[in-house]
Amino acid sequence: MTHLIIVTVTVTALFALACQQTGATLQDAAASQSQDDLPRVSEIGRDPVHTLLPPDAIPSIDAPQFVGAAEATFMRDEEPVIGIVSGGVAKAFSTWHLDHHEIVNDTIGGKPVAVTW
Amino acid sequence: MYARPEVSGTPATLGVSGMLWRDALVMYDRTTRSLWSQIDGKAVAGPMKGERLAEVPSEQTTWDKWKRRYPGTLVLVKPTLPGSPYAEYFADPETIGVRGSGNPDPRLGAKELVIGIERENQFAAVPLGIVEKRGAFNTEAWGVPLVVTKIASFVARAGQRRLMFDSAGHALRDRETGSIWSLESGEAIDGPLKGHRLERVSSKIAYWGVWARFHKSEVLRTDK
Repeated sequence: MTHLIIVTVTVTALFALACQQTGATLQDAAASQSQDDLPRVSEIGRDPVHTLLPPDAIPSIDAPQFVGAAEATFMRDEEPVIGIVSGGVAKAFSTWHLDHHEIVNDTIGGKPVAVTW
Repeated sequence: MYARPEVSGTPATLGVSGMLWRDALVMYDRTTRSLWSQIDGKAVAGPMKGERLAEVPSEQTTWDKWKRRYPGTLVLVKPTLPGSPYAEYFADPETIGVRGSGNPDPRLGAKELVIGIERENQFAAVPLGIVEKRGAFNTEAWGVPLVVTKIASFVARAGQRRLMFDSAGHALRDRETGSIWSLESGEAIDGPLKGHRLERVSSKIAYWGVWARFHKSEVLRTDK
């Protein structure tokens, strides 16, 4: 069972949930970004592109905050994490947490990375 | 995990576009507004179209295992949001994604986790359980010897010499010479082959149902 929750691929059920969860703010986002300047594509290759939400309706984390393991009382032992070691720095990202954001923009050991879920 | 795209030497940030393609997240970068496919890191539209994000080796594990291995680790602080929305999702093993597109290839279960491998536009997938059991899985795809781990995968050759590997902590040890190879760089860091470097192949953990929709793959299950 554990590896059912150790997942790296984008799990898109989130979009449906985000529709419910972001509630009022979603309408605001849709109104303010209806003129968004992302490329308009309906198809790539022969596969359709579905636009389900306005850009950033699911907010990425752009200023991530971290604590050491001793202070991380909010983490459960069995909680699935994505771990990275770079430039002598180890960092863990809870995938339960990433469910709400899908992308963390970070710099780890001097390397600019995007943790995606 | 990907290296962020650089535009004129400055790393861009990535955001969630709100689009889905092949049932997977489409990201966009906030500098050029190009669209990027999350599953393979390729820019699919916009000024960066055709570019590809470099993958950064990362690992999926549990918090207790990770902090035991890296006691000095940092961990992302949680925001104050409700719990995981995935309970329902995981309870439905036949449905992938909000559009419920089912299983495109019955060789494996849609919700089975695989390590998806790519080299030169050729694809293969290994059930994750096989790799977890062995630590390092020695196999072949498209006639090329491979060593597959949860963290990274490589062509199992130094020069013309085929190597077989065992897992050695956060590294690999080859059976032929006992050299120790870094999983991060693919370089032999100790032993007779020190200084040699293995060719990395793209590898990531994915649901079979999503991977198979994207890629025509060999399924690898046997040690070779």
